[in-house]
Amino acid sequence: MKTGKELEDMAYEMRKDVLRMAYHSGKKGAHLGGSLSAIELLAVLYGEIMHYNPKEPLWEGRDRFIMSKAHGAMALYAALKQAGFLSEADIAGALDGTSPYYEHPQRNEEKGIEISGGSLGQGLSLSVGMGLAMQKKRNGQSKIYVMLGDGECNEGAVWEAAASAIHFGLKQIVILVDVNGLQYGGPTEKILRAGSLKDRWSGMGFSVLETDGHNVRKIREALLLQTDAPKVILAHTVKGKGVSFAENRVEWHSAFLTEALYGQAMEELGACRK
Amino acid sequence: MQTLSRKTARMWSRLGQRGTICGVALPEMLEERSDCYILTADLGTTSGLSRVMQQQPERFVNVGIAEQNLIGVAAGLAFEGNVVFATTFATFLTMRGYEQIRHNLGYQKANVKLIGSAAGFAMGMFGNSHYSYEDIAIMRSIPNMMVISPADAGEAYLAAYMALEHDGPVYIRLSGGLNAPVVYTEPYAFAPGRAVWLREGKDVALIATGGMTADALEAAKRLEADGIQAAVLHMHTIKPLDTDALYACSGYGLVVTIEEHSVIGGLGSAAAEYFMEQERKPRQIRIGIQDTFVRPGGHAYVRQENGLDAAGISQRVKAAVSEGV
Repeated sequence: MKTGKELEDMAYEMRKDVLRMAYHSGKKGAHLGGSLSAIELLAVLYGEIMHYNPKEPLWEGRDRFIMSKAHGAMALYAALKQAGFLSEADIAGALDGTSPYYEHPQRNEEKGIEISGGSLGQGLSLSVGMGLAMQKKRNGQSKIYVMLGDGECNEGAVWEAAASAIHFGLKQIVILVDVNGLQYGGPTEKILRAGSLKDRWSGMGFSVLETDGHNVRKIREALLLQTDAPKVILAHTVKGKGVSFAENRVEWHSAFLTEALYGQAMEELGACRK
Repeated sequence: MQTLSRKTARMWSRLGQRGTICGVALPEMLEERSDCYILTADLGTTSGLSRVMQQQPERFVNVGIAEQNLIGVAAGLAFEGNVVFATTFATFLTMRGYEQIRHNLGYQKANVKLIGSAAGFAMGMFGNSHYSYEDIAIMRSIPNMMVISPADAGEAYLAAYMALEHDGPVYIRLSGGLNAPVVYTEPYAFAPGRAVWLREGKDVALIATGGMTADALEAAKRLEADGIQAAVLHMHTIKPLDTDALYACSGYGLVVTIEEHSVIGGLGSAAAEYFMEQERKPRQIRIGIQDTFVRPGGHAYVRQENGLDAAGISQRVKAAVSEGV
């Protein structure tokens, strides 16, 4: 088991990679906010919880990860580098306009990317199909981690899929909702009031846990906790986490880093580590 | 897998295209293949899937009235190495979950076969909500998607087996209901993308798809009585299009495409797109729905009202021939 410090170090490296990729995207801009909010969640998943093998990427017994909130692609790429699927060169070239690692992940099982993303609200349905296949093959070992955004929960298809995950009793599905409170057009509560996300999920039959989505120890605890029903972790996060000018700022959903801002962001990250 | 014979053709035509795929082909496939799944959005019994539901409950999945999820779950199963058939009415199957189809089946090539039942106006008195005459247009515009529209129940059976073996997404558009006309009564080589000449004739080429092929054959008989020799080409595959067969058609003075579908985007459009780029261009008439929501009614009534039966086709062709080309 990794220490909390080790996981925090991993998150730090991932954040730096995300900033590099965002900077590298130039004036096209990149989805910085929603990538930075998901860093600790991915660090704990790939650093400790998930079972996978980059040397045998199609290993049947692996855990699957589905980035349904696919704007978080940069966070996923950074995690896949830590996991040994992507190289430093892949990260250095990502989002340059020609790389296969662009704003939304493209299915590439060899590189640990289970499905293509970009169209919101679809990942949970895919996990239900995968879960049914595992049930039939008596694969009781693999888990399917699905990351949703709180904005993504606007999509009706999420709730069709949620109902079926419960109906078919798919306990291998673990849903992580990155609750950063912002979406493209503004605060999530202002765009489309969700009521209580907790009540929504638990009312459907899920075991719902709430946690601080930037605290690696608490995330780990939530992921390891055994629950009776399929699990939903509502991870409360800060969009743009770690970069003062981007934190909780809706305009940093997608924006570009100038050289000065990039320098400032890197400096702030470093300062936090001292 | 069974072979087509006079006997099976007669038996299957009573079941119709949907009954034959869901009640005969799919149960056989589930027996033969352990990696095969059947999914529906609450149309199990109605679709004739009772045998599947009883015999293979583990590989029959009803997701409820949720077509978007139907496609997503089907794709998830396919990504785990399975071949998945997903079925409901053509309209809801292709339209409600269109983007799921595009993203998972088209873009990511999920090995899912869509069986759209009761296409066109086969839902009769249910009205326009249940009619499907844009499905060919939207399905064929998705890269990697194969689009098949069988002429009769026997061909639907063969198409389903072809889809099982084909590695990639397929849309099979099913025409008509029970007691459908029989076009084929003996074995023939069904190959996707290879149209079938069902009748020869020198004056005009009728190119039909789906349930309209039987009517095109009947129309050709009527035209013969009027001294017009009509060839009939059955285009069971709209994508990939059989351009060799179309090239052969381009020698005719008049080509008539016939489909229980909008003239926008369907077989007629696909053929016109091909002819347009050729040096030798035949005159083409597109028989189909003329960009309107039709007045609902029984299946036969709606077809008749829209010139989509043997009488309507033959009258239209006769008028076009007498106008001169």
